[in-house]
Amino acid sequence: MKDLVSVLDGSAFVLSDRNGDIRPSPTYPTGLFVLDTRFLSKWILTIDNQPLTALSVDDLQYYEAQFFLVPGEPTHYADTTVSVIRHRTLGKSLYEELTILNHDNRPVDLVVRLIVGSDFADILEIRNARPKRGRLQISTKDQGLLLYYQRETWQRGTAVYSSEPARVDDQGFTFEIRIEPYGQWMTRLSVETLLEVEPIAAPQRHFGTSLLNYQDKLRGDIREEFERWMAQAPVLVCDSDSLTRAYRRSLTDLAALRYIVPGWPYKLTAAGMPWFMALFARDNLLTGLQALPFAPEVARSALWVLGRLQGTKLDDFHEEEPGKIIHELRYGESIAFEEKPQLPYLGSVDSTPLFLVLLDEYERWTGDADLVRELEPQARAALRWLDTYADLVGDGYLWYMRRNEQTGLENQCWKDSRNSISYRDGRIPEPPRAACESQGYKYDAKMRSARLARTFWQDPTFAEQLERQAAELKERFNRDYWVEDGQYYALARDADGGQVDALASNMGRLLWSGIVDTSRAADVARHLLGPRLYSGWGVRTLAQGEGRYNPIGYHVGTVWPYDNAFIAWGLRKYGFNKEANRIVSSIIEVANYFDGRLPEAFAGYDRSQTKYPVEYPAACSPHAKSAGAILLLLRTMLGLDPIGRHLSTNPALPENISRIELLDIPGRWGHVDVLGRRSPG
Amino acid sequence: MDPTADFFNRLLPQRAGLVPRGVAATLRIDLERDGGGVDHWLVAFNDGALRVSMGERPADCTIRTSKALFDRMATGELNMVAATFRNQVLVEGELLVWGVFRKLLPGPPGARDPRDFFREKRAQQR
Repeated sequence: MKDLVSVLDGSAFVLSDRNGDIRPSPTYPTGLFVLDTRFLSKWILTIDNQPLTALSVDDLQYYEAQFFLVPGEPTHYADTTVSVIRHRTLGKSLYEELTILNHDNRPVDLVVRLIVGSDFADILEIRNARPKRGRLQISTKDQGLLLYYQRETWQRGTAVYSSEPARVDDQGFTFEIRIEPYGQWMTRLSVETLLEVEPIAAPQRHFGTSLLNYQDKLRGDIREEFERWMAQAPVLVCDSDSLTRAYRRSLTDLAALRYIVPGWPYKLTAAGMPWFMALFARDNLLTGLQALPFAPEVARSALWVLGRLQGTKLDDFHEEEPGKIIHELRYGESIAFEEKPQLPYLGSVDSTPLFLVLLDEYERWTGDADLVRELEPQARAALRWLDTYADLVGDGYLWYMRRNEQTGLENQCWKDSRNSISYRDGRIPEPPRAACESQGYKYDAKMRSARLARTFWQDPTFAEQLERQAAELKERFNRDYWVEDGQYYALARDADGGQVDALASNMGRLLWSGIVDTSRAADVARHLLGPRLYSGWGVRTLAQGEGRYNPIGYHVGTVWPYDNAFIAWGLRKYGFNKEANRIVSSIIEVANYFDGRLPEAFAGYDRSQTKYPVEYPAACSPHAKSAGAILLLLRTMLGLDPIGRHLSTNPALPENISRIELLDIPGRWGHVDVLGRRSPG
Repeated sequence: MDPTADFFNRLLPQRAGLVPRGVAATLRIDLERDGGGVDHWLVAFNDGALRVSMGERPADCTIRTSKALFDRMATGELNMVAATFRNQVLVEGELLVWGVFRKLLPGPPGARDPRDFFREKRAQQR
C-alpha cells in the first residue's frame, strides 16, 4: 500500500505503482475504479521495450499526480538522455499527459508502448475473484481502443483515446516517434468510463446515460469546488504544528472523499480508500457529526439522502425493514445481479439511531428547522423501527441477527468483522446480539427526538413518552450490562440475557450517549485509560488479556483514531478533562507520524514496545471518520456546544498545546471565533 | 388477476404515506405489452400524497419496461432497482422521482419479520 500512488475523486479512484503503471494484483484493488467497477486493470508504459524507473512522484492534489521517470532499470539509468513525465488527473474522465523529453544534442527515435487492459472486476469480488459471467470484447477505431464487457443487458466499457497518432491494437497503443535535440513530444490520453456501450433501446432512456447526465449536471469544476470548500472551513491558528497540519490534511481528505451518489442531488462522503469508496450510512452519519462545527453540509446531505433511502418493506436478502436506515450502497455487477446485497444493504443496527441523533445535533448547530420538519415522517418511522423490528427478543434492547445467511453481516455494529463480539474467554455468542453502544445510541436517539417532537412536531405527548422510555432504558441498561466483578459495561448482551463480558472500547461511546450512570463514569474512565485498554497511543478496540485480543486484529486490539475521538468527547461530557486530554494529545501525536493523516486503524502494541505507532496492514487511507476525528478532537478541546442561539465554549487544552484559535465557526449564530488557552496548572 | 392493475389501483394508494414530504412531481410508467401496444400509467406525487391515472402525458420522469416484467415487480418478485441497474428498466428524466417510486413497490413475497425469523431459529435450535 505504501508503494502505491492514488488519485481520487469521491468514489472514483486510480491506484497505481510509483511508475504510474497499473498491473493486476490478486489481493489489492489496483486500477481505475468508478462506481465499484474496475475500468482499467492494465496500464503499463514502456520505451523501446524497457520498463521505466520512477525518480519522483508528486501528488499535487488528491485528484492529480505527476510521475517523473527514466527508461531502464534502476542500475543503469545514470547516463540516460531521455526522461518521461506522466501527469494524471481524475475528473469527468481520467486524463494522462505523457511527455517525453530528449536531453541530447542529437535527435532520438523511440518506440513508446502503452499496454491497456480491463477485467471489469467488481471491487466486491477482487479478493475472491470468480470467472466473469459476461463477455469481454475489444475493438479499435479512430485512434481509439474500446474495451467492452456485457453480461445479459448489463454493460460497462472503457474507451481510450490519444491526441497523437498511434498504432492501436487489442493490447494498447504504440507510438513510433522522433524527438529533435533538446525537444519534447507530448500526447494526451483520455480514458472514458462508459456505463453503456451499445444502446439497448432509445439511448436517452438508458439508466447509465441518465446517471451520467445527472452527475455531469451536478459536477462543478473540481479545483474551484475544492478551493471553496477550504475557504468555507473555519481557520485554525494554534501553537501545535502537528494539529495545524492534521487539520489541513483532514479538510483536504474530506473534500477528496466527497462525491455525488448517482441519482442524488447532494454530495456524500465515501468511507475510505480503497476498499470502502462507497456510501456507508454509519460513516456518513458519524463524519457528519464530527464535521458539524466545520462543514454542516456534510450532515445535511447525509440526513437528506439517507432519509430518502430509508427502508419501507420487508426483504430478507437486503435485510430491509420499514423505518430502518441503510448500511451500504454499491453499483457493481454483483449488485445488479443480486449476488451481493448492497442495493442498498440495510444490515446495520446503529444507522437508524445515529440518523436520529444527527438530525437533532444538526438542528442544534444550524437552526435548520425546515429539514427537521421535512424529515419528521422518516424520523417517526425510525423511532418505530427501534421499538419493533429491532427488538428481536422483546426486552427493549436494540438487537441484530442477519437473515441473509449467505452474504449478510454477522455483526451489524461498527465492529462488523466476524470475531469482534466475544466473551472474555474468546467464545463468540450465538446471534442475536445486542452490542452495548447501540443501547446508548437508542437512549440518546429517544432523548433527542423528544426535543424535536416538542419543539418542531408540536407533539408534547410523544415527547414525554420518548423521555419516559429513555429513562427506563437507562435504568435497565445500567442493571443488565454492568459487569459486577470487573466494574465495567459488558460489550454486548446475548439472547439468553447473559453478558458478553469482554472489556472493549465500546463502552467509551456510552459516555458520549449519556446512558452511563454518573456514579459509574469514574470506573469507565479508569478502564479506558487503564493499561489493558490504553496503549499509550490510544484506546484499543479490545483489552489486552481478553481471549480474542490481537494487537493487529481489525476490531480486536487495534486502535481506531475515530473511536478515540468519540471516547475523548464522552470523557469530557462527564467532566474527565485530564483523561480526555491524554487521548487527544496522543492521537494528535499519532497523526504526526502519518504526515497529518490519521489512518483507519493502527496496531495496539504498547507504546513502550514501539517507538512509533505501527500502521494496521490493510488500513484505509484516507479514511473519512479518521479525517473527521481531528475535527471532533478540536471540538472536544474547545468544549464547543450550541446552547440555544449561541455557541458555548469551555476550553481544556492538553499539555502540549497552549493556545487554539478557531475562527469563523459557522452555525445558527452566523460565524463566531473561539479562543482556547491552556489554564496554568 | 392483473398484478400491475392491482398494484396501481389498490396497493400503491395504500402506500401513499411513504411519499416523502416536499415531493411534487409526476411519473409515467410505460409498459410494453407482449402483443404490441403500450400501457401508460401516471402517478402524481404531491407532498406526501399521490394520485394514479392512465394516459400518455409528459411527466418529470418516465420508466419504461415490459408489462411482463412489471407484473413481477408489482408483486415484489422482481426487484425494480436491480432490474434498472441491469437495464431491463429504462429511466428518463428526474432520477429522484424514480428514487421515490422504488420505495413504494412491495417487498419480495415470503420475506420475514426479523422477530419471527429469530423465533423460528430459536425453535429449530431447541
